[in-house]
This record gives sequence, C-alpha cells and structure tokens, in this order.
Amino acid sequence: MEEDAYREFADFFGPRFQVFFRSRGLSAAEADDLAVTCVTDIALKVNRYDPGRGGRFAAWVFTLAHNALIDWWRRQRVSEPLPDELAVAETRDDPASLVEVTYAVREAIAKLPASEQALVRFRDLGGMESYNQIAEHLGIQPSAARVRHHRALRRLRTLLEPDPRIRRLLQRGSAA
Amino acid sequence: MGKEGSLDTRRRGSDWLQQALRISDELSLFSGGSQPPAVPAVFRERCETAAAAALGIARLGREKSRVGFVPLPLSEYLQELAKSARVELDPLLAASGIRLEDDALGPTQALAYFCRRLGLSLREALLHLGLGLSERLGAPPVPVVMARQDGASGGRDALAAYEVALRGTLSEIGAAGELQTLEAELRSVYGESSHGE
Repeated sequence: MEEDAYREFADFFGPRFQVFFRSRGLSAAEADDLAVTCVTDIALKVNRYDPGRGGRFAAWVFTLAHNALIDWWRRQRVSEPLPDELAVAETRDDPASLVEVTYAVREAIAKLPASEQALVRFRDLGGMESYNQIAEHLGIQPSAARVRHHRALRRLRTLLEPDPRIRRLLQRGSAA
Repeated sequence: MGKEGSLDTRRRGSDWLQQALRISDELSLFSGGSQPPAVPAVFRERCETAAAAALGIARLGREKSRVGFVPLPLSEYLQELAKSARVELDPLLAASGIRLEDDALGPTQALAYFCRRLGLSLREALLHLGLGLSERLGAPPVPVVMARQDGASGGRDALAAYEVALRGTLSEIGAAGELQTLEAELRSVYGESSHGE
C-alpha cells in the first residue's frame, strides 16, 4: 500500500517536475536530475503537509519544487544572479498564495469574451506559443491573432490590477 | 512604487501579468489540469527508483526515531537500522549516489544528503562519520576514551560527551583537521534550505 502511494507520487509528479524545470531554463539532463531528486525529497516530506496551513496539496508540492529550483540555481550557478522571475516569485512557505493567484487569473479570464479567453489559453496557458499556430487553430490571420491577444491581455490586466490577491503577489515582488 | 504605497504596475509593464499567468499555468500542470508530454521510459524508471528510495529512507528514518542515537560508524548504524526496518540497504545507497570508496562509504556530500534525508541532525551525522573516520585511521577506540573521561563527562548530554571523546581521540593521532574538513562538508549540505523548509 505504502509502495503504491510512493509510486503514484513519482508517476504523477516526476514528469511534471521535469516539464516545470525545463520551462525554467534547465537543460534536459539538469531537469531530469533535479526532478528525480525532488521525487525523493518531496515524497519524504509528505507527512509534513498541512492542508490547513498550506492550501492545496498540488500548490504545496509546487512550492517545494519551486524552492528546490531556487536552491539548485544558487548551488550550480554561483556566479550568476538569481533570474528576476525566480527572485520575484520566491514564495517560500506560501503555497496558499499561489492558489489565490490561480483563482484570480481564472476568474478574470472567465470574464473575457469567449474568443479572447481562447487566445489567452492557447498563448499563455496551453503551450501553443506561436501566433501562426493559434491563427490556424482559430481560423484567423496571424496578425489578427496577435492584435486580439494583446487586446485580451490589456483587458486582463485591467481586471486583475485591483485584485487584492494579485496585489499581494506584486508586493512580494517589490520586497524581493 | 507609486503614490499611496501602490505599486507602479505601468512601469513594471506586463511582467506581473506574465508572472500571474505563469503561476496559473504551472499550478494547473501540478494539479493535473493539464497533462505533461509523455516521458521516456528511462526517466519514468528513474522516478520510480527515486520513490522507492524515499520509501526506504522513510522506513529507516522511522527506525532511527525509535532507536535514537547509537555511537556506531555510519555504515554499521545504517546496517543495523536496515536490518530492523527490513530495508535493502545496498540499492538504497546506490540510488543515493553512495558507494564504497577505500573501505568507507562516500562521497561525503552524498552521505550528508542521505543523513539529512534520514532525519539525522548535523551533530549526529558528524559523530557517525567521525566514528568511522577514527576507526579507519586506527585512533584509540572512542569508548575507551569515553571511559577515561567518565568522571569529567557527568552531567553533559550524551552527544556532547561523544563529541569531546571523538575530538580527543583524533587529536591524539594528529587527525583533528580531517574531522574539521568533514564537518565543513556536512555543514555546507545541512546549511542549504532543504527545499524551503
């Protein structure tokens, strides 16, 4: 039973750690190594997960993986400064705030017109990165996809800017 | 920062928005809302080996909590724990990057990570490794030194008494510096944040 739980943890999160680390600029070999280390380290900490304090389990795991990435960066690339995106988003001990940000973003996207929702999802949340691909998928010109996407982001910014959940993220960023 | 303590979001451009979208995207991946691409079988096997190692270490850690500190070199201590916890030690050590080097387990860095994962304190880890070092270097056995110190060590905690004895025995053979090197290596690993904790 215990073996199954550990294996399930590895099967589910191992590939996700790898994708996450690759997306943050690690080479394939580096991402693989760090992902494997995280499987062991985070699985060993599962009994410390406190749903009351830490929000959802996925957010807690994500926070630990994110912190592992920061530690890795500091250890491996001593001479390079921490990239801004890691410094700004350093979220130690705060997985609940990640969930808050996610809810805020989802709620704001849901308020966009359907066509703009699709554009943001394709471009920013789904990994289909090029405007050509998006245009093909939506049956529009790439230039139109670009213009509408920018419009969608502008609208999204207006919706999210006053949101207290996003303001907290920004405050962390300015403190970093 | 703008007026009234507000944040200058215009100057920051869309950075914060990209960051919020990115967090949302990444968390969706971790929540199972989006699927990662299929991974090679080799990587999946590595993950499963890592999970098996976590399970083995968790079992050893539970046994370690039960028995507490025992003044043995690390390899012997681990063997005792593994025997009681019914854990196969060799594959676990191999998965943790630990191998036999010159009749001792190494490298030190991998051992330090292993000790930390096991829940050994820095002092306990240093004692276990130091006892092994002392034995390999042919220093007077620590229990003998302990016996000599018995009168003086009363009232100190057990770990402190072993630390004094270990330092004494290594000093006798001029190997105090090796213990310091070991300690520095352990400290560099234990000093890391342990993934945000």
